[in-house]
Amino acid sequence: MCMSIEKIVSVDPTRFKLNPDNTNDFRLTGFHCCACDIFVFGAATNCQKCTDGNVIPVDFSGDGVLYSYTLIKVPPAGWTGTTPYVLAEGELLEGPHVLAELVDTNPEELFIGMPLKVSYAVDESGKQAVAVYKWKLSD
Amino acid sequence: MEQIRTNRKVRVAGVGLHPFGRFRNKDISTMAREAVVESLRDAGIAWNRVQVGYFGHVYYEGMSIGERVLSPLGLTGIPIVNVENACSSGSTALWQAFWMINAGLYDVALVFGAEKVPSGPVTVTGADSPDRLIGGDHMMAGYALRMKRYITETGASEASIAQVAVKNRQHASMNPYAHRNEMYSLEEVLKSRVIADPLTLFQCCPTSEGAAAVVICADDVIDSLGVSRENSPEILASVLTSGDYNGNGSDHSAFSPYRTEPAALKAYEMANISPEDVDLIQVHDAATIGELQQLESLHIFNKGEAWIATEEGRTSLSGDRPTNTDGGLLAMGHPFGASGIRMIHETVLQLRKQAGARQIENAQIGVSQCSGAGDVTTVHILKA
Ligand SMILES: [Zn+2]
Repeated sequence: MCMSIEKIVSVDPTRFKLNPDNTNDFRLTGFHCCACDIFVFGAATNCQKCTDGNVIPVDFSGDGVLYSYTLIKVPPAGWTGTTPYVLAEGELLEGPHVLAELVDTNPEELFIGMPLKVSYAVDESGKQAVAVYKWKLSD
Repeated sequence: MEQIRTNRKVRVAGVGLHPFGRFRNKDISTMAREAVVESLRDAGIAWNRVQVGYFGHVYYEGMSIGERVLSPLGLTGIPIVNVENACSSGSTALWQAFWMINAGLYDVALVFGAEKVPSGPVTVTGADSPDRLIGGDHMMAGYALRMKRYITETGASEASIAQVAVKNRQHASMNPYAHRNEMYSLEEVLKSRVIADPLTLFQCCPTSEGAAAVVICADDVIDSLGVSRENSPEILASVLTSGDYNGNGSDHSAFSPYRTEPAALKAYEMANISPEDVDLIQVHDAATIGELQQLESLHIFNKGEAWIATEEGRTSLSGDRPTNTDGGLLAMGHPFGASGIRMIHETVLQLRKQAGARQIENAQIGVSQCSGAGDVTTVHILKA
């Protein structure tokens, strides 16, 4: 079950980067607007707020807080993980909200405002191994 | 092309509805055509007087379905436009038709919508989208996230939110066109199976099939059409918006609860009314929490207080803010392309005092609001 890192692709390279030489080196990515100082998660050619084109790529800290969460018992089509699963809306320290599965947790013990950290898991359900970003509770 | 006359009054002359539900042996164009024929008959306008058609529809079932719906009525050569704007497709079709008449390009327009939504959780993205693996593309999970947050911020109980479903089912029990018109108790709503905690099955709108149509026309041609002005409510406002930056955008699978507010404020300004003037409301209650937050976005109630108004019965048929009087999405079901037009159908029946057992008293001004993926919002205001 040993998979070489070269064969793992990011679920969406505009949102999540994984270092091919180091599986512990990963981050959510986006853009920072130099004109109005806001951050955008994922792909952007221009600022979502002011539409200025002077946006620079950034790596997010990966730290956030739990803005809201739900235990999904009826999953959507295309979901390859276990069911039920916790979907979390996390607020990155930089501002943007990010939806992802919250892993390694007991849904009974969750509360809004808990500190979160970005993590990832490898989905091997398809032909290609895919690194999918996840939330987990901060240590 | 007709002479350009700006700022014309536009009226709804006729409405038609195909029942909402499941109709396995009926194709979408047959359903839509029945609603169209009914709306023309209701208006008393012959098909060959219609100058433009807009068809709201989302799921792919072949090209140019709008043309397929109308061609058996006679090939008149008019422009027919197929409109996709998620759950607001039907109301977007109305928005387009309204502004075409208002601008003076046409005098009479047909707005129709239909859908056969597949069963199961509704997703927004295509099957190869990364959001499918990420697990965030789940319409009801989006509402569940909002509900959890709303409970924390406002102190609302799960029961007070679930009350919306009980109330809308009560309204639908008087509506033979509804997908679900059996009533249920608060306990039954809360005990139905969990879809995405805290949202239970009966707090989520059914995915449905159905069709709706309205005929709209310029006020200045209504006499020449032989249409009753009294039976044709005026459209005071028609507004369409997409998502604007609200401080935490970015992840397009996250829905923000108050995106309707800019559209609502524009609509009140256009209609020259205030929220206090509204007698009748249809909002996008795809889930119970949706009705509460849309009512707050429309400034019918203060933010964080719609659940209290619901508990007090203010949004039921006998309340001062009757909402989703035909049962709303929660009971009518939600055929995307038809839902926005269905809301206009109900508003017109109420304003004409033709709503039968669910008729409310003294309805003069009705608002209807739809939301959709892409943070699409439409708001229409009609006056008796
Ligand atoms: Zn900016």
